[in-house]
Amino acid sequence: MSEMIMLEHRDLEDIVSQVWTSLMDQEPANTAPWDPVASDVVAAGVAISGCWNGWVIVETSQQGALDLASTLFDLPMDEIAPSDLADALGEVANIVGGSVKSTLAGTAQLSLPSVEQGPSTIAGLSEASLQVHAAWHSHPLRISVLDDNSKNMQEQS
Amino acid sequence: MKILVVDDSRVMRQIVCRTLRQAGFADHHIVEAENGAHACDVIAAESPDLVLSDWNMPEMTGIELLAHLRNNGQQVPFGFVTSEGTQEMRDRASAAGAMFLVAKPFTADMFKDALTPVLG
Repeated sequence: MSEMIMLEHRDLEDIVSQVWTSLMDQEPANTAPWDPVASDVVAAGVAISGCWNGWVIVETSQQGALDLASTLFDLPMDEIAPSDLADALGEVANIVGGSVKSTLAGTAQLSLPSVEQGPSTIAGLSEASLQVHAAWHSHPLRISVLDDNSKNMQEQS
Repeated sequence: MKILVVDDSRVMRQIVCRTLRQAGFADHHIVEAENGAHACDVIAAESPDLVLSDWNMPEMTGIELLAHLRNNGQQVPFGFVTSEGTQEMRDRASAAGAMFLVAKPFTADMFKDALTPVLG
């Protein structure tokens, strides 16, 4: 039987704050609007499966992902290759996902990260019940924890 | 001493190397591998004094790497640096022979605490 995730909005804000402070030396500003042009979005996600099934997804703008990769690699933006950008945003999603997973009481597995150019194709993302909208270096950020309802319903039945 | 950093993320290998310097281990020689299978080759060629490995990686995971090493009599000191920081993972790591598990996101002080007993 699948357990309910006990994570609350404040907990997700704390995770985001901790990850950004640790990796990027700057806490993101909370309650920023999420309004990038859809085609400009870069999304990285990890799946959690086991006692709870769902996704943890980190989205930002193309420029935000470039800035993030530049900061993490400590390189100028014009030296960041597309593979570096995907690597950096994927690793951030992996760390946020690991922190979310650590709040689960039961056993679960964390997938390797996947990165998409353009809005995430994961269904139901815009309706995710747990979502933090923030801004880092003036770039929009959206971090979502999305319950895979269909899978969880199957496991409960 | 020689430290092998194993992670499929190039940026995370770089962050681990940077944090090692910040934690006071700048004088050690660092070699890298991008997954467990690659790490087996690097360990055979380079004989590191410490392995710092991610857990989730393609080809061969960190826990599979550790099991492979111990099954082949290789007792190199081994620690995890991973986003998998639950007690269950810590118990699995310890049971397999890991000396420590540092959870991401980490600080230089966390590296210092975990690595000083091994590197001095």
